[in-house]
Amino acid sequence: MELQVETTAEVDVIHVAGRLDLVGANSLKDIIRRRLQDNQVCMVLNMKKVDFINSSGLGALVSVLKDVRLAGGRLALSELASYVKEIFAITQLSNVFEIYDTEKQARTTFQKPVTV
Amino acid sequence: MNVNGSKDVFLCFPANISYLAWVHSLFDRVADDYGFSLQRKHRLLVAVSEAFTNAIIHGSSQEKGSVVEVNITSKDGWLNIEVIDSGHGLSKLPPQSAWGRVSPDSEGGRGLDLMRGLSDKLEFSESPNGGLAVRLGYNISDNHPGQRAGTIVDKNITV
Repeated sequence: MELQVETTAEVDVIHVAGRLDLVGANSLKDIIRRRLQDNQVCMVLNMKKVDFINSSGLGALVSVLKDVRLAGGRLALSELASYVKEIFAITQLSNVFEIYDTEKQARTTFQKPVTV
Repeated sequence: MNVNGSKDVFLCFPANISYLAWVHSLFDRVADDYGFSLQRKHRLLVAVSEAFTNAIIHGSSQEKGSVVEVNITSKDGWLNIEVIDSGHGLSKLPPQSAWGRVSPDSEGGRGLDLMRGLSDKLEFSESPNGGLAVRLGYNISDNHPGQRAGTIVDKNITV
């Protein structure tokens, strides 16, 4: 699995590619916990290039969601392929995670309102 | 590993998670051979991954030589995949009433729901050696949605 972090002022976008399974799960947890240690608590996981996810991958996502919320932050997911959406629907995790069709939509929700 | 000629495949893996990638590659090819659509192939791969992972984590002793059997057969319009562990059989299986009731913040326990949701048929039984046999069934008749008609081919998988 490949992970690429794109940092902006308001949110980290982590591009996840490949297999999110027992092996990939640990890499994902590591990178998100490092970002939390650096006080970056707002994250979007762009899942566009995830071509496989199983219950181990779902477990890792639940784990990092709890970590982010505990740190007072937010985690959103974007661009889930149809077969990944199906996995979230079956396990009812689509009711647990914030899921957006596009990365842009997800990022927008993290923008602070402009005050004039 | 045992391969029986043309259609049916009987394999025996060491109970080690490192073989999951091998199993994934095998079923990637099985799905293609049986003309599965991409969506249906993904369902098959995830369901088999759950069955194989469960067999290793929950159904194998730590003794050296523990194995997981994977049998692939087709009959009467069904592709049947059987994953047999060397654990404690049906006694360790959660009651069906507990399925689909995983706490939202639980990090585990979703494998059975995935196997049920991603297969056309799911059965459990106790194998002659006392382990748990998980049977995943996929309708491969030509008129089944997700099945590309006329693409079922004779299988001859060499491992």
